Amino acid sequence: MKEEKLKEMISKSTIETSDDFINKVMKGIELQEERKKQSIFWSFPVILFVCSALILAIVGLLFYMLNIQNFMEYATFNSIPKTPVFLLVIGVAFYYINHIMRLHHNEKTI
Amino acid sequence: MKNSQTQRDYSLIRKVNDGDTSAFRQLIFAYKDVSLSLAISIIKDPIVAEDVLQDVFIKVYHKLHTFKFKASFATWLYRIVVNTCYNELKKKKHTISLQNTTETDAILNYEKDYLKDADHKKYINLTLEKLKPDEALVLRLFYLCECKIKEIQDITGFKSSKIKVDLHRGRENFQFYLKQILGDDLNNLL
Repeated sequence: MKEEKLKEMISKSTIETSDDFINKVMKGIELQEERKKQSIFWSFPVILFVCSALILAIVGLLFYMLNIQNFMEYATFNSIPKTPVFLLVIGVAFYYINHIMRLHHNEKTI
Repeated sequence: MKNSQTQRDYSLIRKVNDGDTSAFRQLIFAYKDVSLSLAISIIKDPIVAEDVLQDVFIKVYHKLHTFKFKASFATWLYRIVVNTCYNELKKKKHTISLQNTTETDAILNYEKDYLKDADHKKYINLTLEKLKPDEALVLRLFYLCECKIKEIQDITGFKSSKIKVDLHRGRENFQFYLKQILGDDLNNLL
């Protein structure tokens, strides 16, 4: 078979997409943009900031209500063992960082 | 011809980056059929290939702001199509290998019946479907998209020697399968 004939034949091999292909793509884009807006609202930094602010407010309110003048003078805090608590907090933090990274990776591959 | 197309694509991309979604519709319209042909070269299943292509265009829309106006948009797009399709193929490979021979025979019988009234285009596409993904892809990029070896290298990531071998084998296998499908009718097609 001659090269030109082969070229002519393969140049005819274009396969057409379905009629509503473009509409499907545009709808997909709209859906993803909506999801993106939601995910920005519920993103990790936003949740972290909101939770930190809430915890601070609750702790502040608690100490105000207990009418404690100096935080360090509150005796029970000194009796808590620091090393196990530190390890526990670090362990939990690593677990959740790993969880978030895996979710992010899965989202990317989808 | 290619240069004017590149300039037209650049202007459309700038419009899309400015928020004009109708410009993106024009871009899809210009490239959807050739992109689907390339996707089918690799994936073989037209329904899966179209689904993958939808995802590709959505991905392209979100990444369009990263496009550097140095290479042609076609090369950039085809590279994404090819990479996404090979990733999809890796995922599907296990499922494909589980297909039994009875099923394959049924498909072949269906094809023979189907071919009775089919036009040339269908014969050619069926022949290309029988080729290995790399061979069909390289043949389509070379003859359908009129890409040079260097451009095919950029799109596929294959070495030039592999591209040349695939082109050579692709041509031979294309003729072999076309003869197998059409038999004596091959002369009518030629």
